[in-house]
Amino acid sequence: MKSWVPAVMSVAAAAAIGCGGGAVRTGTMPPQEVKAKAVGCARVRPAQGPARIDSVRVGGTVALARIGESTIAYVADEDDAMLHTVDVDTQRELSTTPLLGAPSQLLVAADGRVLVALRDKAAVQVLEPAAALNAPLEPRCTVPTAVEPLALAITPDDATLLVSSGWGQALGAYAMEDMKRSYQVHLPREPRAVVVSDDGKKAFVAHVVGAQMSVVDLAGADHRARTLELTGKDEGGFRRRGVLGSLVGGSSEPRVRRACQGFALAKSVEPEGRVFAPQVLVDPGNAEQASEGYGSGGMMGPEIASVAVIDEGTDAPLESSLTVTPDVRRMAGARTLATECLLPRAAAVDAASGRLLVTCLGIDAVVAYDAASADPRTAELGRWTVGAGPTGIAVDVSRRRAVVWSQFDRAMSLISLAAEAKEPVVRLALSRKASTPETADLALGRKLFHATGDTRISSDGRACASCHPDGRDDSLTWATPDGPRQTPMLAGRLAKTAPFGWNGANEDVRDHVTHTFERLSGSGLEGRELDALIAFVGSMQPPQQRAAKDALVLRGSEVFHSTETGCASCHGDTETYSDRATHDVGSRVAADKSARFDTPSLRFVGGTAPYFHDGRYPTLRSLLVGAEGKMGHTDHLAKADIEALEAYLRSL
Amino acid sequence: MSPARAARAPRRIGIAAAGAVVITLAASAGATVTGELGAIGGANSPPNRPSLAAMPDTTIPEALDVRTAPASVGAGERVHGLDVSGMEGVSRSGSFIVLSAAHRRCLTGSFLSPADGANPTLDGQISHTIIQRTVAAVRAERLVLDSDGKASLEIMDAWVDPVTRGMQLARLTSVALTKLATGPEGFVVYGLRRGDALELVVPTPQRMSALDAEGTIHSNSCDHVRLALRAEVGTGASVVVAGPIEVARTAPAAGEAVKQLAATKPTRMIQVNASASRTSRDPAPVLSVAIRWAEDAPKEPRPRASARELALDSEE
Repeated sequence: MKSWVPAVMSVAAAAAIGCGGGAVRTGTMPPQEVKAKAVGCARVRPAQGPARIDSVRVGGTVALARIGESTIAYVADEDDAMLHTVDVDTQRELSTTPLLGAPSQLLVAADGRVLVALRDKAAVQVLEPAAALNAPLEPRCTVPTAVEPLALAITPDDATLLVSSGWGQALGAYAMEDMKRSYQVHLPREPRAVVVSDDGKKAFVAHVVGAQMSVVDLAGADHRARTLELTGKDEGGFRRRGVLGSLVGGSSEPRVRRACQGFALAKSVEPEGRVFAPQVLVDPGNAEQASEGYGSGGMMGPEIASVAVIDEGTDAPLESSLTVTPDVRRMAGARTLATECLLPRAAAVDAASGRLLVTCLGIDAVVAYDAASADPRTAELGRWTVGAGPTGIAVDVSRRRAVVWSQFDRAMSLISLAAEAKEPVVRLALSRKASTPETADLALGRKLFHATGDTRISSDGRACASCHPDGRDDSLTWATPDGPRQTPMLAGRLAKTAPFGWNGANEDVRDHVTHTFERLSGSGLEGRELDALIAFVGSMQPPQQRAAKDALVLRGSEVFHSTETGCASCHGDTETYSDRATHDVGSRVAADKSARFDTPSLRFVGGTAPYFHDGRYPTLRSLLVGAEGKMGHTDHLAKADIEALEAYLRSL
Repeated sequence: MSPARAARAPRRIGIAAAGAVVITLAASAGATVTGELGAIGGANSPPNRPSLAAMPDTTIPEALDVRTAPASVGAGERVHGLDVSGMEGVSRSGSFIVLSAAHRRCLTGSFLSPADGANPTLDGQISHTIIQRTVAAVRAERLVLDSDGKASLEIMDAWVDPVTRGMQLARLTSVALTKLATGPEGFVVYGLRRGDALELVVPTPQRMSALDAEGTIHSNSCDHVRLALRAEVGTGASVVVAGPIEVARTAPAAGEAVKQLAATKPTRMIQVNASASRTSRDPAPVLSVAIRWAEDAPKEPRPRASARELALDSEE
């Protein structure tokens, strides 16, 4: 096996945020600069090397190909900015290919090229298998994309590559022939997985936040995107028959739950025409009332695992897949129930068995659901334990196995989908850069950040990543004992921004984390584990932000810093954009205990809607207009200056 | 045919139906599920996908109409499987009797509200108190399993006179069932087709809870529960039944044999999920049935600092 061997090693702990929730570099060698040959994006050795199998046209952190009778797995290692090539049959790693950036997903094209989305480089790198199977892949070209490309898909005719960009809030379309961008569509916050309808006319895009799915018209001239709402109906209590029903408690009013954690999508094979969206249905509580912790959740708890089933023909979800019903098992006396999949990250359908396979962080398992169920979440068929941090899965239908990539453990799991397999799960560790005590801490911290069902973190199964997916925010406003609180973004926003909490009640991150455990009714972490979690939280890298120096942004900076507007009076610090003090900006609502709120940092404010402690402003524009007189002044600004001010804020 | 489709080629046996007695169809076989962490057990057949089209349409007779009830029933008349007991003249209405059914038959009748009387298995009871002086219509339904593994519903319709305590059998119907799925411990779930709806029939060896397609919860004390599933285009419906079943006793360790003999039989919570759904591309409702253990498996260890990490901590 040819592999990249570090010539120099030193002790450091650099980390970059990853698709699985935080990359932890285990060495300090910078990614090699790979010089691409001047051959464009096309293959130089057509029809050679591994070929795509099963016509899979959806990206993931693991993708399968076939050469002869051998199955090859390409694995995107985000931590080490590496692409691993593994012979699945012999369970041997054949080669590693250094990449130009941190890979979020990869996809094998019809001609065997491997396309890799580089999350931190706003680019897709195109590679070609080398002449020798055990040689690193050869780079062909790099294609610029919107900021933070995270997911890939190819249309059924293999003519177009679709790239969803998270922070860039876009879906880009690129002609596979020359990799030139055909068009780009603006999307709501945090788009992730993409799947294309069987007729190639529309793309379904999952969103991590916002209780929505985007449906993009690929065939129309304007490629319009419309939003499909994904909210769940929670029966609250339950309805019983007859007299007994009236005596038993439970609300008769349905509660609305909002979908979150929309990282993954999968398409059905048989029956056809279904798009599966693993997600979590969240009840953040009644923001107008103080609660005992974060949210109330009624009888069912704040977060419930879900799999939305979308009718591909009508673009509508089956209501049954979004309706939360009482858990009959508990009523029947079950005491120990399996921890739900509260952090789904990847999904694939095993066509041979009709099962939907979902990888779940936190429980570190692959959960199998019946893909034909009207509510797959209630039709779990079983689960397999895999390595920590499973972020990708690919199914080899004919060989009856699934290949899972676990980023946290840097391990590949081979799951036999055949009945009564003697060794249903085989785990294979892949090569990695050497770890150090510091990076080991970060690795532990990352696992703790994503630990669901850990009673030290919460009593209801939630993990840190439940409200802070990828270290960001869930765009929800939660009921708390202090009043309504909009979830803040963490990544890149903690350094030098103490105190913490909307009321500035916590002097440091440790205090705030401890306080959060109490709010979640967790028993708390101590010692090395608490240190590791805090270290990880502090290390989470924000998304790449392109420095915008255009005239509009410069004008916006002038407006921002003007005395008349007054923004800089509290947000003037040029590093954090926060004076780290509390102020009464007239924003208190009835449920708030205090009227004074800590000045939040404005870093990355453009991507963290809604705004204010209670999330009352759904957009930046509405905040700039609506906060007039209470927090700065904008009434005097012309429309062009409002636009400039907004552009400046989006550049921070 | 693609490899995927070939691997899933359904197995169906066509058969003709006749009258109210329906010949049992063997549905696609395949045990599914265990909830055990680390493995999925059972045969590698698809999750059970009954085909409504392959099931004969079944007719379950309507309940007896009390308007056609006889004026009285002779005191000595009896119906095998039903028993009457009670006291005279205790209530203002006059007599009341306790009607009970043998073999945990599910009982209902005209003495209950109309909505409750349609399906005797929902909140199924094996006995009822009848407080009235007029002849009541009674229905008793039970699940019958014969030695060949075939299943049917025996539906008994009778008249019961609370005054004379006489009972008169009006009609006995047998409805053949289709085996839909087999789960852990050989737990079998059956079904029948009524028009465009699947009725799931789940044995309930002990008290079980059920969630019907309308979201109503039922607690069942009789020998089975019957739940309807129907899906129009663009809709879906699902039902859940959960409750304990007896499981095989594991070999006792030395010294434990006496204790185990004295103890009750071990049970474990089982869960049946069934659904019907139909998208715009489905020519017919898609049915699915899944059976698994409801209880959690042993918990996985939490990510904790290793001994090495803790040792490093103490060295600093």
